[in-house]
Amino acid sequence: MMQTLAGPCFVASLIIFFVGLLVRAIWYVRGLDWRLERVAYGWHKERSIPGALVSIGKWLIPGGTAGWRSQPVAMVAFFLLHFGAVLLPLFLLGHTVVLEQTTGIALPSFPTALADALCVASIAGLILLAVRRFTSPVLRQLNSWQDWFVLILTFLPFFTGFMARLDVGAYDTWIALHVFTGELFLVLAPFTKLSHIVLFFMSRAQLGMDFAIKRGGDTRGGAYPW
Amino acid sequence: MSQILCSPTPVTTKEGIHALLADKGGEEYYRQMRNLKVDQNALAFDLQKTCKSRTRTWLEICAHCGMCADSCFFYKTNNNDPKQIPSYKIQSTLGEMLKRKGRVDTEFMMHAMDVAWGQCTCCNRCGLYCPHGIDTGVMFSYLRGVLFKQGFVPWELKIGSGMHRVYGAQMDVTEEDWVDTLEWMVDENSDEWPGLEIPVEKEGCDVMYICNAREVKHYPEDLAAAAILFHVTGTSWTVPREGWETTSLTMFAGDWEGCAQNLKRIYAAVDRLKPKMVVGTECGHAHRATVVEGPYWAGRESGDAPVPFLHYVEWVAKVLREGKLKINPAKKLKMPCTLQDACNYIRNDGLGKYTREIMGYIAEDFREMNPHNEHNFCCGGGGGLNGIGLYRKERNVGLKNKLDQIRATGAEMVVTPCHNCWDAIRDMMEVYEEHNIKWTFLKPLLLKMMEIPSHIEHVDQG
Amino acid sequence: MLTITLRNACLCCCGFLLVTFVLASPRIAAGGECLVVKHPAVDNPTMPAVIFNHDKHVAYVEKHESDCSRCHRVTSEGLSVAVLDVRLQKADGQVPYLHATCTDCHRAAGRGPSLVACRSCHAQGNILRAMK
Repeated sequence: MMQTLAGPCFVASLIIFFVGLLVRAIWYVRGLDWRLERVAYGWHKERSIPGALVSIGKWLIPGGTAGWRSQPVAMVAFFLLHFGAVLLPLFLLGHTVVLEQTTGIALPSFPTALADALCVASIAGLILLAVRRFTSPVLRQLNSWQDWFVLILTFLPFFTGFMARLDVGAYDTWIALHVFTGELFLVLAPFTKLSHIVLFFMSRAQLGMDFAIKRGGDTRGGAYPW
Repeated sequence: MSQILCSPTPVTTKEGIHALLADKGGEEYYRQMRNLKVDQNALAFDLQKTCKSRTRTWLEICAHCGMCADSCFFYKTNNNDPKQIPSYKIQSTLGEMLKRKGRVDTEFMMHAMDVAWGQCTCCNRCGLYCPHGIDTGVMFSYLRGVLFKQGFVPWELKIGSGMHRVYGAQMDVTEEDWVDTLEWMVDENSDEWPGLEIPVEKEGCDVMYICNAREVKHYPEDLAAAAILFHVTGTSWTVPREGWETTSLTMFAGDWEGCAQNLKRIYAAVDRLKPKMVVGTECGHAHRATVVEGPYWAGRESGDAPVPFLHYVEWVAKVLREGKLKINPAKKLKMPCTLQDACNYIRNDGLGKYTREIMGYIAEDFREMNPHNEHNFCCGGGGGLNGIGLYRKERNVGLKNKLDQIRATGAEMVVTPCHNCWDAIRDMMEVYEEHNIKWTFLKPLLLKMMEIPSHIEHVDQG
Repeated sequence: MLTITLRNACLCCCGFLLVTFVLASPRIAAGGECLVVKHPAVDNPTMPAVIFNHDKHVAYVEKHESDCSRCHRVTSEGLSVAVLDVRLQKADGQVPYLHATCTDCHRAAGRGPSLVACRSCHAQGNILRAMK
């Protein structure tokens, strides 16, 4: 079973993940309509490109925007989760070994201590987000089943992976669960709010261009001061 | 009253406007609305056309993180009512409509109307606080368009849209009224300012001035002030006979067809008179409608107006900078004063540096509100809310936020170069009985403190 | 606890490895001869060393009508100590070579840990803990 899970299933889930997200990105761009949105996407490149880049870049930096600074708890939780969520799948030693063996692509890998720290931070971030989702009156108003579903879907690969890494028992079971939940995450990402993996960039770029092209980029001197 | 007042059809006749105006407070209009059937197929079609990948993605990837809540003054002033969270407001209206593919009833549409006009001023502030770059204010504007097409629009904005369609202005000001008012203002002021004129329909000037019908109808002295300032600065200027109205209640109403009609009137004037630039009066949404969104309604691919369109604050900053307008240092504002940043041209057109430049010339004790500039809060009356009787109570609650902001600066004067902000600030002072803070447009201030160049004849009327 | 970790340890990498006996190879009734793989030497190893169950691999090879040449080169001096051609790999290629050699065979055999189950083989800490 493990051979299937780690072999064909893994390849299939990667394909679904990448193709799915690519399709969503293409669908997003193709669905943009300069007349409807009233943004001259094809014009004023000198300010639209910096506008898009700043709109993405500043939000990737903790405290980089007034929005982040105004919500320190949310910010801490998001970044705790996302550093690990973005970096570990790519640079965890086990992952790089498998990647190199299967594709020949050799990525550098994190030292164990750093990987452990990132993983613990991500799990802490997830727990913080869950607590926030559960206790904040704002989030209680907004919560939907999908919010909880993606939170759990994200939690599982971290948790199972970390249990396997601790190796305190039932290793084979934990690693199998890790591979399975990881694949589940990959497969479902394009069809859930996890699609923000790519759509975050599209949406942020759009709003950055919107402000840079149309809403004052000319007078403001380019990018919006997020 | 048996006449149909509330229907999906826009008002396009004087009779239609008079019938609506005769219905005091829109009582019968709203009664009819309660029985207005939703054309679900048309709604589904409109949603399809209105919500493409940007809007659908916004609605779908919203992480329900709640970061927009605190950015909304309605949420704050309603004791953090979860129903006032921007994300909730749009998801439960436009989002729900999309989910149900337009299969919604009259009650739902009326609720959506209450939210779209009574709980959002389209100030776009929440858009700055969303990590995913979701601009809920923009979506509300589209929701208004969808509701307008089905006839679910507040009474005053139904009238406003009709006014624009019938008179080419937000109020029933005809071309004769316009030209008469201009002549009257010249007569009224030429004793004090010999040689003052308001050139109508003059070709090839540097500036074509466009304004707000309210100025023509209710405070023509604002027109006179504009004329005097152009006169004193030696500006070659004109006003068009047609296409002088720069405001757009049609934008507030979601009447996109009406918006395009306004624009085409103004652009036609530009074509006729070929000015080097157009200057619009101290109005926020007018600038948004004419300069920011307008070029798109006129179908201009570049998104740029045919000639530079300046907001009044840009023009004032320019003439101050160039020394064409000089301020008498002794007459600068001594009292602590603050500045109201209008969402529509500060957050949404980046003109904050110009208003601050102006404050540097005219005020000795200028105090910023917190937050300010791009991150300012709406005055509380934007997006047409000031004018809607049905939501007066909701608006008055929201006004408290700006009042608190103003009070915190310790200012005794709020410089307010926007009609809507000006109204909202006037009303909040009245509603909350604050009698020690004044508010003003720029023009009257400048008239009082400018130095009159020696070559300009001025007869003191003391 | 003990049985679990031993099972892990002893299911570990089928042995086409160059092994040296650093510890006395413990014989455990349920498992067989378990060796700790010490080659190639890795500076500052980030993972525990591999525990290799030689007996189990021998049994498998015998049962499937194969012989030591599955893992060892037969030379004039007898069986190579090294697993196949690991010595011919350049220094930074030896670990990947072993990863590939072990797990390819596992896949073909339909038995033994796959490459993703790192700690099925990298289990030195565990077996020592278990033996105490």
